[in-house]
Amino acid sequence: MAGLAAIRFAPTPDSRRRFIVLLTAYVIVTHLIIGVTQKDAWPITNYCLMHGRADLRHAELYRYGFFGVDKDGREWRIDPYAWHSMSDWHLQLWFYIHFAKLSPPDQQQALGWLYGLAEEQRAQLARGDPSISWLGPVSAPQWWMFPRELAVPPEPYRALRVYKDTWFPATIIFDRKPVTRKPVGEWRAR
Amino acid sequence: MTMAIQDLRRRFDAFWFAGESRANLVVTRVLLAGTALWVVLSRYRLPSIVAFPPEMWNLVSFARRVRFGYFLDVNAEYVLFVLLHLTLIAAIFGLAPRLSCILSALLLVHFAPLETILWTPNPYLRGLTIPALGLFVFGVAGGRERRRWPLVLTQLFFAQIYFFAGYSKLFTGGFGWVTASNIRGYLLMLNQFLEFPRTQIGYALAPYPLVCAGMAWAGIVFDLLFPIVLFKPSTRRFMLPLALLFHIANAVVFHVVFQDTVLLLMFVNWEPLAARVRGWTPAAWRRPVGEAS
Repeated sequence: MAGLAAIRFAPTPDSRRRFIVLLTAYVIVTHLIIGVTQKDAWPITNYCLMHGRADLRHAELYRYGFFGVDKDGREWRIDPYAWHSMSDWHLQLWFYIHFAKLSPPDQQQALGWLYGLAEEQRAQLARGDPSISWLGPVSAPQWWMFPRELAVPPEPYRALRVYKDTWFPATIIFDRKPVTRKPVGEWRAR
Repeated sequence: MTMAIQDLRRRFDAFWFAGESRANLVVTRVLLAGTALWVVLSRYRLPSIVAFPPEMWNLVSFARRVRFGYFLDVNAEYVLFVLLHLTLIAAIFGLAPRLSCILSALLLVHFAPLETILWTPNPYLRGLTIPALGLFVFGVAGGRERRRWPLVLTQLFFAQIYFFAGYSKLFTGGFGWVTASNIRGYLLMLNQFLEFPRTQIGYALAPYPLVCAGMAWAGIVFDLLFPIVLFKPSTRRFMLPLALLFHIANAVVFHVVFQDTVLLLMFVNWEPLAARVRGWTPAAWRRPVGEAS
């Protein structure tokens, strides 16, 4: 902002040019430092993407699955666009890092909130509207393209269940061993 | 020595401060604001994330809240969000360009991290980073700037995405990243994690080491070489179509969407098209020579 003010109110074209050079140099040098050291200071960032090694032999994968439960006890996977513009992947990371550390009442608070969002989207999908925004089919998808989960029951969910699936990619591919599914939490509608 | 310094200064001036076509500056501003508007319209509930229960915001430190200004209630956030839409529309149409671009940039920096804030404040490849930086630069430049530095600086931001994406792979994974087994691992893990069916092309490509190694090398060489478009405009003829192909392949094979793909158009020279449009415009509509825009 200081650079902006200096450029805007520079008394002469030469001094304006000098301030532009200084601001440009600052921006470039900062980007270089962040990029080369791979630190992060968004909006100046390191742009790392798929940068680690994907070792099939040792990697263990996990995924948090969010399910709505209907009146007959059937589970329906919640669509990844149910979370009010929150990225599904980052919600999973939050569960991975933080959920177990919460007290049981706090866990219920969080699950109850997510149930509300899931139920809100269920009603929309039940009306036959799969849009993720007012832009309809031309809406920007999430960065990771999770497949949509558009099948929903006609009546409200009675509960929200969260599972953690864990598996070794290599065993799934070669031995066809199933994933290990562990319940993480449940919230029942009152 | 003096000659060399003078030559360097001449090149520096030509690169940053040569005159630029008004069409190219306007198109870039429209692309930046248009991309941001597309993303925020698609994430129309971003402000509601501040209303998530405090238990879910526990990981967001006080310093982080101060940095991005998360203190208002959800209604006030929605008012700011509407303001962001208005400033982006104003930036697209060139209304009060300095004010609209700077306000857009500041509001984008406020809203963009919300999509990922529960875990990280870095939404860097989700479509709003380059618009935020670029609109700030265009705001600093103002509506009357006719030199190329705002355009070049924005292009530099964009080119860095590719370069540092390539660099980070070597920095973190070393040369072991550029192997068939690594790409095979990514193909299988991503398809499994995202729960795509076995019919996906990623599964079909994974068993072929030559294909996987080719993808690794092509990707990293392309990433590291992309900044050449800044210095050798003639390379844009093949680098821009390659970039488009790269993003389509990433979406189809790895299921990663790059929302800023349309910003590749800021490397196109729009002046010939603008000149043709000016030729079609009736003389009475044209701005008299010498009149300030």
